[in-house]
Amino acid sequence: MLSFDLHMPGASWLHRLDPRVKLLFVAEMTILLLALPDLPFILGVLAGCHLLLISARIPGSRLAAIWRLMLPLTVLVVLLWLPLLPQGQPVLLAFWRLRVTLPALRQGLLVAARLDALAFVFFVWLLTTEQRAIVQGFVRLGLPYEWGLTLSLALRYLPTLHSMYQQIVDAQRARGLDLDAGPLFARARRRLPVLVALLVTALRSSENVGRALEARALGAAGVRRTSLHDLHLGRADGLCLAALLVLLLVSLTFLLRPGAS
Amino acid sequence: MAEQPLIVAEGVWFAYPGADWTLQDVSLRLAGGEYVAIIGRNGAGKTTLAKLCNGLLRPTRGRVCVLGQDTASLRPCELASTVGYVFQNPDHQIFAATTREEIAFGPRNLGLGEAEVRARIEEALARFGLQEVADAPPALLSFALRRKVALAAVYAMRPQALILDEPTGGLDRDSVHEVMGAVASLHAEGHTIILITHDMALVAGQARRVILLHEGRIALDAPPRQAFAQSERLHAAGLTPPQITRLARRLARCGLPADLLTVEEFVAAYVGQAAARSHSPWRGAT
Ligand SMILES: Nc1ncnc2c1ncn2[C@@H]1O[C@H](COP(=O)(O)OP(=O)(O)OP(=O)(O)O)[C@@H](O)[C@H]1O
Ligand SMILES: [Mg+2]
Repeated sequence: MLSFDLHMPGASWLHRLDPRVKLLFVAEMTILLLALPDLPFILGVLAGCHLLLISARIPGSRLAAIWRLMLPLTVLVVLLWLPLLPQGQPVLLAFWRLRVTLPALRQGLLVAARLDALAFVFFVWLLTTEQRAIVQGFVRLGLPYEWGLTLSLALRYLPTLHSMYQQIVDAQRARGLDLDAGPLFARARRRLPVLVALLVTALRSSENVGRALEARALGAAGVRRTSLHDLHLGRADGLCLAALLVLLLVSLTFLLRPGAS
Repeated sequence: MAEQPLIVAEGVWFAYPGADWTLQDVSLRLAGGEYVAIIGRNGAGKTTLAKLCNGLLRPTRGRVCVLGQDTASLRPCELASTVGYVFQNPDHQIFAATTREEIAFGPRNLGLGEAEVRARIEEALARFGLQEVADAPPALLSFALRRKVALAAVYAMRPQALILDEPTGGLDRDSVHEVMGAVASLHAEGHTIILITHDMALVAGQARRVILLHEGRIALDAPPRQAFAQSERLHAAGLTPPQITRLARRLARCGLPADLLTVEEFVAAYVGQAAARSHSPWRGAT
């Protein structure tokens, strides 16, 4: 079955880290990456993320797979930037009306690297955290429990929905529906029977799931929920929080230094 | 023209991507007009075999031919007019705003003219007793009616062979009776029926041939009477013969034949026995 879950099961320190700490890491890194348009910093984050993932024993083949995914995007971003900033100096390449300048190349590489770094920050989080823990992290940071449950149910039902979709495609093809012939617009229109059946089936099953949850007293008034897997901040979590704080302070002094743009 | 088999599977192996073999070396020959039941426990590969027969799946190894044509060279929509397939879950095919439109979908895909489509809609509605809900939205009908709509919609394409994947699941006794009665009359009119079911009494009462799938292979391929006589093989595959067959076998020493399939046969044999002995056959049997 197709998996929509990036999580790689493991028992490394990064896997065991409190999901709230990882969430904080993602938030801090995202802000810093957006605030600090600095190539050395961005490359540092990229390298750091790789080190983290390797220390969490994520196999190199998985990292390679992620790069195979990211590479076309990276190249595309650089290419899109090349013809911009035609006023810059020096000019690297000029033909017809296009002028590729060094600042454009620099900017393109910067934006692409930033995108990759941002993606890897999220990969560090998603590859080493179970869906259940991701949701629990949000809930313990104040997201209402019902929202968290809805989120995890939605994630949990993605593969179900996918196999439902395939069943429906098969059912309609067995009735003579030809999905692969003709022009694009006609093909899209012919998906309609599939989409309607999918929607109806999905609504029906979501209603059933809702009823089943209510039948098990979800949302009963005056209940204090306990949790089977409770979260406790341990020593490793404390150390990581400290490291994140130091990183934040250092970056802030760097950002606010006199003469910073 | 020589009698051409409808569906032929030769040495078919099949595995879903990234999984172990689901079917191993399955060979099979179905002639036109047969009534075959495919049985086996959950996950035995019944649905997979059915999807191979109508081109929705293609063999990993070996080949499947429908009317002499390799399914690997055909698209499912081209096979739809020959081998119809009613899915296990009716909701997987119901999408239209009215039952009429739902039934019209298949025939229109075949490119039939408007008059012919209309005639087929009315005929299918009548056959499955759906006239009263002809203009109702099928998705909102009861489960039993949705099953009938799904059947009628596939039937309206008039395929030579009809594959019915657990057509009685979730139906009450009366609905089972109606649906299987309609299927029996389709068979009587010459359609080939491939019935996938867990209901052994249904198999015993209707099918002319039983194919047992076990661990990806055909463990048994025989008429019901012979098939249900092989209790050990059935047992190994997690199945038992129909209750009435088991009862008759337990009473074999009272002179009842051990291969009875239906209640009617049982009654006939019992009455015959009683007449022959002129007293209760149970006496002295203990
Ligand atoms: N799309 C799929 N991808 C991967 N594996 C599948 C897929 N569909 C079915 N399988 C697996 O193949 C095996 C056979 O499935 P199949 O649906 O053919 O069984 P079945 O005999 O129809 O069972 P049931 O009586 O429950 O309907 C099962 O182990 C099932 O998990
Ligand atoms: Mg099945």
